Amino acid sequence: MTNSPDTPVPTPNTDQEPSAPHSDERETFRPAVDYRPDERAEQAFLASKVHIARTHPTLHPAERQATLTELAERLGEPALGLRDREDAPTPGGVGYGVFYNTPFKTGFAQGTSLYWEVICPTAPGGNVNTWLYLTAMNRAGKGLEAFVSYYAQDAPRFKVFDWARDDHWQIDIPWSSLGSYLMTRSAHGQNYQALGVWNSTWQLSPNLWRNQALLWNQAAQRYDLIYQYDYAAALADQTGGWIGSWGPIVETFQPSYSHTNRFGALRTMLITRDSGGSWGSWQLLSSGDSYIRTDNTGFRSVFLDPNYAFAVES
Amino acid sequence: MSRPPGPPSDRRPGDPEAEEPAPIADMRKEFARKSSREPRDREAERAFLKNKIEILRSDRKLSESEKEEAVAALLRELDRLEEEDPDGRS
Repeated sequence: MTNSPDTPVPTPNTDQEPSAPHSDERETFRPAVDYRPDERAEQAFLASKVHIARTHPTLHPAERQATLTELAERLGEPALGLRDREDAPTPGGVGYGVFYNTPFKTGFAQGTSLYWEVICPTAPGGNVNTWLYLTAMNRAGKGLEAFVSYYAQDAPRFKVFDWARDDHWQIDIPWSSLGSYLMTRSAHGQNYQALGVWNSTWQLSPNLWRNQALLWNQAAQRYDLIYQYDYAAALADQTGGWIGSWGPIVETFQPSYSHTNRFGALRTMLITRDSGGSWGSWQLLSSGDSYIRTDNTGFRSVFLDPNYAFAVES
Repeated sequence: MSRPPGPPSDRRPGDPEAEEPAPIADMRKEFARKSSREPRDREAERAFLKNKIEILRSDRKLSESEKEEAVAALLRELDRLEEEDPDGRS
């Protein structure tokens, strides 16, 4: 490894010659006289930096603000106003959550079932001004989503979207009807309002499957079957494709979030039915079977028990 | 035909009730009745599908061909929704 007289930094190790020569190509790369900056691209570059600072998943809100202040000093105050442009892409994404690895997503034969407890405050708080979902699937491609749906600062609703049907939307319950189902769960020294959701997909007979959604009734100490649907499908319909690949996720509809309440998942468990028709045992969702996805929409992890429990806030 | 066994209780080991499977009550009629009172929100339905498409398109673990196939399926769902309500009025 040698250094050029003009660059006192050691040459990076590469697969090439250990002492590669340097050549001065600055003239080659100098902008042409008639060069016109692409203002839109440059603004997009700055806007992206601001977005990253504003939504960085590992920074606390105070650290984000300090970073934004630094950017304003470095880039100018107008740069901070570059967010939320009208021509920005549709801000759909995953604020934070778990996706199944492919071997696990496809690793069932005659059935799969998911139980999880949704950390679901009665109000989303912060700057939520459109939809926000707390949802999960049980791996089956024609399974269902039984989920908590927020819209702006309205009271949330509990909904069921069945991927097996043409008329997907099946259950839409106001929060005021869920009093018996809400419970308090403790995790990492904090109490959370939670809703226990159990959704299953299994084969009734060759090419005939059933979807079910149940809620844990805390008041009655029982599960309540709230939805069921039988339909024709093949195993490949259930294990193939992308649908069904998400475990508990905070599904977002805005480019950035701030000062929201905490959302998340507790006790996420799955069970598998094999080709002989036998159910295995419930297993907490592990980091070996899943991975965390975050799209930098402002949510940061409060805790993560890989990967069966987490809470996030913004 | 075999439903899955119930999820394990969170009660402490040793609690005799922890080993008992929790009962299941059929509340489908009640939930269907409460749901049927709500008007259909097609804007929310469209947003649901569009958001899934965005999540899919930005999934870094999928190949382009996997994305194309899955996006096509979601677009068909979206098309069907548009056909039901072409003017997006409801």
